[in-house]
Amino acid sequence: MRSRTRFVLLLSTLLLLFVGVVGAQEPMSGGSLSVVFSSEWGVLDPAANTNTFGRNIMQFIYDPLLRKHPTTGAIGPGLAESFSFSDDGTVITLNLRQGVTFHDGTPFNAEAVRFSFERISDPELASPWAAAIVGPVETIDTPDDYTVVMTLKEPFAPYLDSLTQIGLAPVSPAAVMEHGADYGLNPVGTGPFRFVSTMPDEEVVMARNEDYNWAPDYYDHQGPAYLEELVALHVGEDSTRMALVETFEVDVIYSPLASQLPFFQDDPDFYVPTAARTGVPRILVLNTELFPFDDAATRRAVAWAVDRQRILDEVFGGIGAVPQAILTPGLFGYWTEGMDQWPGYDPEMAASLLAEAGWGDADGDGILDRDGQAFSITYGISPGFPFDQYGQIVVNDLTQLGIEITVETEEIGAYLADMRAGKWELSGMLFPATDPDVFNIIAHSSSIDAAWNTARFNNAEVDGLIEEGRRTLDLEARAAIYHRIQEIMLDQMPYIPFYVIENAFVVNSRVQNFRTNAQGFFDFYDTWLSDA
Amino acid sequence: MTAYLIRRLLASILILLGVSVLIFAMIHLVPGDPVAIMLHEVKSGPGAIEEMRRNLGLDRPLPEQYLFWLMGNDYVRVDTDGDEVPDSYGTRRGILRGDFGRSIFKRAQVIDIIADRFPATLKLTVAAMLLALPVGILAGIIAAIRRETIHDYLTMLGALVGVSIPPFWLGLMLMYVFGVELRWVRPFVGDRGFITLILPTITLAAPTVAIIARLTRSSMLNVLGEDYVRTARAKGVREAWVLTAHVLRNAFIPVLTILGLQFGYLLGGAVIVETVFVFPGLGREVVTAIINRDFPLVQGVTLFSATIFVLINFGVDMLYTAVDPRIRYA
Repeated sequence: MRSRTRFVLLLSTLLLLFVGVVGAQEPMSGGSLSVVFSSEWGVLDPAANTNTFGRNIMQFIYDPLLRKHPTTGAIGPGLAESFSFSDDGTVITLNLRQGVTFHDGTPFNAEAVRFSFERISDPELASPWAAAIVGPVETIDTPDDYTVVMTLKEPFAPYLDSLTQIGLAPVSPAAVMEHGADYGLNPVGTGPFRFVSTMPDEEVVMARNEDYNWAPDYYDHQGPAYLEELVALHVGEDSTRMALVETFEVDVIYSPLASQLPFFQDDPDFYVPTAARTGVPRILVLNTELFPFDDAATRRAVAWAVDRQRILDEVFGGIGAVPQAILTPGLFGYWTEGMDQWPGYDPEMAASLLAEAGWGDADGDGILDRDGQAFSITYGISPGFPFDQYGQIVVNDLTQLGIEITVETEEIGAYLADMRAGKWELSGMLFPATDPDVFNIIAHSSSIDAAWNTARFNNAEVDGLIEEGRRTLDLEARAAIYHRIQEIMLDQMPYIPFYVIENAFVVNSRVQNFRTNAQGFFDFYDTWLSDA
Repeated sequence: MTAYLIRRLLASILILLGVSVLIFAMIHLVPGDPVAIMLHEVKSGPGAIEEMRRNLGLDRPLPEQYLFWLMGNDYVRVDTDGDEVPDSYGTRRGILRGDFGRSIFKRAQVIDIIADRFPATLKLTVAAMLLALPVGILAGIIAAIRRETIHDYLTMLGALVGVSIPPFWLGLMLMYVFGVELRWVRPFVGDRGFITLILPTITLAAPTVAIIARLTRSSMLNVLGEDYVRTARAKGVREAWVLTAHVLRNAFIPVLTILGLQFGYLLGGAVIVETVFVFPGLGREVVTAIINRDFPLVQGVTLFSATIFVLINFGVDMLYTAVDPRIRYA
């Protein structure tokens, strides 16, 4: 009896293994996958939406002209088969893929690209992407059906990165003409899934595009996607999202509670993949126009005081990384040589650097002062995760040094406005990006007030390097420029990076080939269901 | 009566006009700007924010923006590219002509968003009211006629719990117990028929049940001491008839007043319940709109809610005459 039980067990184990192996080798077509986002995503019109989740959902419906490799970040063919710059860097020629059609049957061609770009520049649309086109582009020509020639006002290296953005993805001209201002409720692209129906910001139902035959070659397969249906849902309440994935009502959830991740990691019904987001890590913003952070030596000293490892472990559940640069690893131009020079957590070092910078406690009140002025700052935060959590650690670390901190909490809209206006000595932000030209927004002097140079950092050399970086097409020379910028940022320390973001997902184990793209978001083209 | 109706109507219009100024001023005067919020998600250099603000007309003086919102701008706006698109983003006919404009983030007509979302909120609110009214009144009657017994104490303790319990906590507990653990209520989120209405309705109704019960009790107790109740009992009217025809009818007027207010409160209170149970109502919509500073959407929804409030109060005033024939309007 006993040996028979063992035999049955062995047999079933073997059988399971066999099924497992076969399953892993042969993706199955069909089934419906549901994915839950933690907030609204906005309109499904690429030209009108910048929302991160919105862009993620639109990746299923639309194809960008160029693509970023999900792991190397290299720019390669998308709807444009190939691209070239003229020698002076002012003319980009895109050779479009032939035989591509929009979901409504409209042929994809040069005219569709021009139409989509002109639509974005139309003031009547008030597109958030308008500046990305109106700024650099002088003219768009279509010498034949499958060639687009864009003449730029001046050489503009980050433009290739712009072309990988879903915001500039071509839309069906016929659908736009038909639906006009309501196009966003009836989106038509060329992507692997076509739009079926939506309850705006609640649910989007998408069905496989059976004609899809133009996937970039970095995917595992070609042709239509495996999933027959894809449903995106919005569930704002963390606990509800957890309950839904736990009861198998949905397959994939984004942004789960860090505290609950171990529970899912130990459960064979789920797995918990993570994906890094590139750009600028979460940073503390030191206002370089206000005392006492108008002094670089003081800024450098304070950088040693922030316990980044503790923030990573306690606030983000160990998912992510401690940054060693002002850019995230993996972004083009990341300065590897600078990594070991970057300040770590060393309160004693911070204290001695502060003393060197002239700080002491002359009046013996426990608060640092210099020339009779106390080291007293206001720290702006916005309520909720993760500001409250990491804010406590930052306040604790800086208070230990003898810095007096007043925390001011403002709701996010007001917070962003006041941070931009330079209201506080200290605040915090993050900046997802796929190109190091992000420095133009956070470090160029023209971005003070106008964009996100919230440290109000004004450095002529950095300004010059940023402008040069935008004009330089040679990759090696361009990378060197960004290395130099990072070196200056290390020395000047307008921002203290403290957390490299990694997105975590809880995925039902029936989901095979869960993938994320270069932006760290879902890509379900290669995904299939083991019980389809 | 007709004169009264006309007076009320005119007053209502004035109130709503005042409300429109208030709403507009409030959302525009708090710091924060939809374009900055939208563009902080993507890398957008200096100039991008300014350009989009200009395209949306947000760079115009506030009084002008208010007038455009109220009366439209199609008669001042020049069609720059000559394509005569009547429904383009920046052109409005104004709320006075029924055009609430388009949401900046959703790009849909605000009026369509309201039409999409309001039915769910209304359904939830009416369901909660239908649950709260009989349960609350019944509990109040029991507590009143069994005053200072264990029935009274338990009912009032229940009411105290009901009014103090945070709705999001109650909602999550109900979801975990009946949806996740016991699996009696599946599916437990969204708006997918009667089954998904159960838990949010209970959650939303709980505080209202409590309030109605307490109010009915105290109101009944007042009336029970009246002379006409003693007279009715003295002439041998059956106790059930005394309670329903004499006591409850008279005790109902304060309840009715609070009912109108509660209905408005439920419409607003649905926000949390809608969030927990992923119910696609208007409440959740407006919260995001406020966070995003989606001006046209916030203004449209708030004005709509204000209109509903005004209408409900008007309806309650009319109901008084039905409940208490002594009340007349002239």
